[in-house]
Amino acid sequence: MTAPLRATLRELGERMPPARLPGTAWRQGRRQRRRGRIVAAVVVALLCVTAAVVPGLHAEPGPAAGVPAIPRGVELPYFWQATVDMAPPGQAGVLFGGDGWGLTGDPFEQEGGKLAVVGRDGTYRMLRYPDDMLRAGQDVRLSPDGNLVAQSMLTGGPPGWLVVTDLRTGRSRGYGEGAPACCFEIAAWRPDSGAVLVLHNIGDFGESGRSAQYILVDLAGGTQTPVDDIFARDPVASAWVAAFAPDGRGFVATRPAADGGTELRAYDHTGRRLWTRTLTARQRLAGAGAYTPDGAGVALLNIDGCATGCGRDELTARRWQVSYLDAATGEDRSGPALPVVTGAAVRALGWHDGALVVVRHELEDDVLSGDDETGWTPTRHVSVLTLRPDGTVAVVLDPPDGVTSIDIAQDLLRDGRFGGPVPDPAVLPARWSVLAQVSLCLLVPLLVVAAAVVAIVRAVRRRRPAVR
Amino acid sequence: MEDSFNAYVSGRLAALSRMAYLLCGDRHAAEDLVQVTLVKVARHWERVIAGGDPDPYVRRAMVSQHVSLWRRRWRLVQLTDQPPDRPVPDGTDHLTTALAVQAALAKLPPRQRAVVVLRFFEDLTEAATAEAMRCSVSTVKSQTRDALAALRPQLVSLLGVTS
Repeated sequence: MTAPLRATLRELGERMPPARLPGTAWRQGRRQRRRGRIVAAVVVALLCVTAAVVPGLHAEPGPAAGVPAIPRGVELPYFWQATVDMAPPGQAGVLFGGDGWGLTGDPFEQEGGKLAVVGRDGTYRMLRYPDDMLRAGQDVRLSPDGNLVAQSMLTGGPPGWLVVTDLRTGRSRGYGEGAPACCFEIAAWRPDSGAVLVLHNIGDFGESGRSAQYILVDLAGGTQTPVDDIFARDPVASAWVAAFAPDGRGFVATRPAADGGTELRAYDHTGRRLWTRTLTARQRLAGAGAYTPDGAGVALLNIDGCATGCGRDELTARRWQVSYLDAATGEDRSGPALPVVTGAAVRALGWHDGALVVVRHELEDDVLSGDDETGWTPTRHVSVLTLRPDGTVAVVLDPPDGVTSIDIAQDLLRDGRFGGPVPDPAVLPARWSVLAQVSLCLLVPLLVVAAAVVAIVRAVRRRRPAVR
Repeated sequence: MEDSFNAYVSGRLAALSRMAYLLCGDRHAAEDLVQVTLVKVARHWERVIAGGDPDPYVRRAMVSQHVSLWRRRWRLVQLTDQPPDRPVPDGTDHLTTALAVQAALAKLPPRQRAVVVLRFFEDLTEAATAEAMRCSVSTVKSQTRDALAALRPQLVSLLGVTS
């Protein structure tokens, strides 16, 4: 049927003459660009003035009280919030992103997206990206110790297909040759924060998607160790792609199976394959925190409900049950019984005291069948839950609407430091580019006022002799 | 910078117009879509050409703009006292066929229509279509399947094909 359809579409298309353009598209676009920046500068100037005169709006960060802890929630950052490279936040507790205020492109930088880093003292700093749909915990991952962030690209960052940003210094280092690669995937951090497992896109598109290969990148020496062979990757499986054993001596990684399911493969620390296990369409590797704390088991998430090609209602009604594999053999094994979670998607962050800490994704209303259930666009909100062996489920971090992805440092999770106060973002410092544009914007009215004052003074002086 | 933009527009305007027409199903709406898309492209032209070929960006911007406009369609609804004209197939000429396909396309949700246009008019692969629509390859497959299923009754009867 597609050949006649192609011919008919071509015939239909031929009926459309070239659109009449007023010839001002370029000027309109540039005018919009300038206007957006001016409006933003004025807004920021007004907000800065407001912040300066209204009591209670601090220019200093609001530190989390006492010992660093995972906050109960986060606030949306200001859109002019300073970037990590400008004012490093230091060791971080939380990394998050979404489509809410302050997390998307702003009038100063319409293109691209951002993620917010929350330092352990409560400071908010931003990481900026050429792509506006990157997700914390999937495309961009916080290191287990909270000191580093791994991503495939970074605005103003160094060349390379893996960019690691040190949150203590604000400096970034690139790994791999060439320009930043689109859709490159950060799979998992080694628990000692010394290496990153990445999924490296290789070659062009095929009918089944990009070819890819796992590569283990050692951050200190820059050594790149290819893991296993090249395969056609599934671009929407990043929530459940790989996990490291707690001692860092092995890891598991997924890949699409030939029959449409998923293969889970285990490797030792050198990348040598140990075993392969085929997962059903209803099973997912639990996520980056899949290994049990003793390293003996690997948690899987089993979907009770619609598994593939689901509509919104079917996705929302999914029930997720945890089961376990033996980390040494890949065979089924027993493990702590945890409560079932209902939600469109669930991924595991890690463990604390027998409880599994997971992120639950809630969906927008207009999700279409087949959309990525953890995607930037379909997700409306995420929350962090603990699933305890006593059967209780508790929400430990509930960000505001508009936060659609989140990652938490493993050391805070492991120590179970939940319930910290919700830090307020500080109005200042702002990005240098914003300050520069605001200054320019304020300079013009200041010059106008100064010119007016000079003119008035001269006029008054000229009239004085006549008065006498 | 402006010269390179103008050169791109003059070279690609006809093709972009045809794609916009198939997405919108209406000449005026297609002209609006092309204009809005190109203004947006001009706004970010430095970044667009920094990535090499502008076509993937422009295609993605057009599809995204089209879906956004569709989502705001309630603002654009025009109430009339007469029912809108509908094509009446008489089974005698290719014009009727094209009109029927156009009518069937118009009934598709915007993302399914975009899949049909990108796959069967722009001849993109499934992976490139997924990139343009910012979705997974499996979503492209399922959207294509659903769109063809919706189009099949019209096409089977009017094109004389059976599968």
